[in-house]
Amino acid sequence: MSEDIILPSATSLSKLTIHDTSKTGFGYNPAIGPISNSITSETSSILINKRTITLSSAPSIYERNITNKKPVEINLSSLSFLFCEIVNWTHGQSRGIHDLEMKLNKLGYSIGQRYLELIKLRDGIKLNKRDLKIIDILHFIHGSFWKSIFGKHANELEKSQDVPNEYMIIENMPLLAKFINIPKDYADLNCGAFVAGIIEGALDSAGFYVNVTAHSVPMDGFPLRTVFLMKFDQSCLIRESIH
Amino acid sequence: MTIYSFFIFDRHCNCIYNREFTQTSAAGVNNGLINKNNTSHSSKLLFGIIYSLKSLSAKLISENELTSFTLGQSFRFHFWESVTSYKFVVVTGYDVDDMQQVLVRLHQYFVDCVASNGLTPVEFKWSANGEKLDNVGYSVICNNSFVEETDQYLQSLSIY
Amino acid sequence: MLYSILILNKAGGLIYQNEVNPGLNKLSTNDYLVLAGSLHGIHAIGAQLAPNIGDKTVPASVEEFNRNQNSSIMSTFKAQSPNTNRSGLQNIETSLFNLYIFQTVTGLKFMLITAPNPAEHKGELNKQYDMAHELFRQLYMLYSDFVMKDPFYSLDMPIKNPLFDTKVRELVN
Repeated sequence: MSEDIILPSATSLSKLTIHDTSKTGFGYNPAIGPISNSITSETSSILINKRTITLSSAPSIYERNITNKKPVEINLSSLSFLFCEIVNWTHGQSRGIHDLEMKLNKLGYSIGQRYLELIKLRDGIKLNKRDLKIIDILHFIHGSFWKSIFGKHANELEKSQDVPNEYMIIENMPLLAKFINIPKDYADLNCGAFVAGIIEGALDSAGFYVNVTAHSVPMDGFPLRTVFLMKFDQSCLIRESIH
Repeated sequence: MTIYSFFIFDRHCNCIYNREFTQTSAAGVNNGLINKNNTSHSSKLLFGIIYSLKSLSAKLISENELTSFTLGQSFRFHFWESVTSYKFVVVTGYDVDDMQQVLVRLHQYFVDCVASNGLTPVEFKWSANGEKLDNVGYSVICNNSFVEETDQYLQSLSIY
Repeated sequence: MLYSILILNKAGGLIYQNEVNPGLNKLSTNDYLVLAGSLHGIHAIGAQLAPNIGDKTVPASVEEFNRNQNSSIMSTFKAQSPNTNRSGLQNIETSLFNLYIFQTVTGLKFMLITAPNPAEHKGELNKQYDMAHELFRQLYMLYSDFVMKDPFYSLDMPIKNPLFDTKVRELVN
């Protein structure tokens, strides 16, 4: 038996040392770290020459009809990892909680603008009508808009009793925040700012100028309950009163 | 269900008896090795593991005793220590459960054939005046009756 | 009964420790770190020892095993057992507790410390292993969900996540 230095992290996986590279070109070597998984000229040629099998017979996303009304489902894990990385990246770029929320909001905003367009197209030309009243557009956001993004309607839609231009959409189980744990020193942060951005983008491009913020209001059984507070611009209220 | 080997360590961390069983040949005299690996790397590693696990067990819950541990999907090490710090280890296949009684019985043979035998030393590495003996012959149990009796006993077990 | 759950990063540092039920000695955080480090080391020594014990007809080498596993994933697209703890220390039994170790492909180690098997269940080894393994699988899932998908967690650092704590508590109760 050789008297090798025992590398605690690697031996039980295999007798790997820093200088080892995997023979097949694949596999993680903890003694090296992430580099062991990187694509080299050798591994890329293995990948290129590998016969692959298409797992699903369904046509790819590019071949599908854009007006397809059937909900397209995606994997929650992939979405969560993507969102985790979005928050992480934004976090690294921002100077504080408020700045972070602003940046998330901005990212959501452009999605909202585009998504409104798409969902209206999918609704079909005949049924398609433009919502002119605040309450109508909010029902649309709370209902079918929410459903096509998150697969369910939002839990509640409320109007503020004290302030005339404030409305609230309440979501008990926000999908994106499911795996996120807010550290103590970020107590006020709510990653729902991203979703708030989506709402804001959709409402803005529908002609309702609004400012949307997300707030955590936990309730028994729903620790992640989030309230999306919408403050409409005064001009919307004036328009409302003319009609 | 297999017995791979049998070790005894004394209180000076030395492997004083090592018996390896070969499963291939028919049961009989001297299949396998006797006292061939006493100073090998693996018997030192084994002692090291046992020593650390013993102190670790006592740390987590006081007055606790190590009874066995498993390496990978192939080996299970059964451990018993006498009050005089002789450590008995039997290596078996993965699926062998509790062997404490067997180890106690092996200690019985040790007492009968080694400790009670006036012609065999009980301290295997050190002379009476505390000097280290260089004579390797004293450092292991090479008592034929002990070897025979323990062999016979272990081979009579159903798990052998 | 489960006493404690430990998670070690790939360098042997303790990143999570949850005392589920009382029964173990009260140890300081530092003691736990030392404990985790020694177990990590013993695990590695065990992997060195295993191929040199008993008759030398040890199952396929690790490289070969990995290659087989890779090709089986490539051809069947089925997940393999996530436990890569093949030759290292697997479990410890003492008169007052049992300890089980599970290792993921990235070198992360999960450990469970449980009460010893009651006397009437002696001889049901495989059942215990299966139970421990099932719990490990669930824990690994919780870890991947609530720790890895948390944007505020940095890899290999201690896990201070109330959400994960809650889920672990739900799992073991």
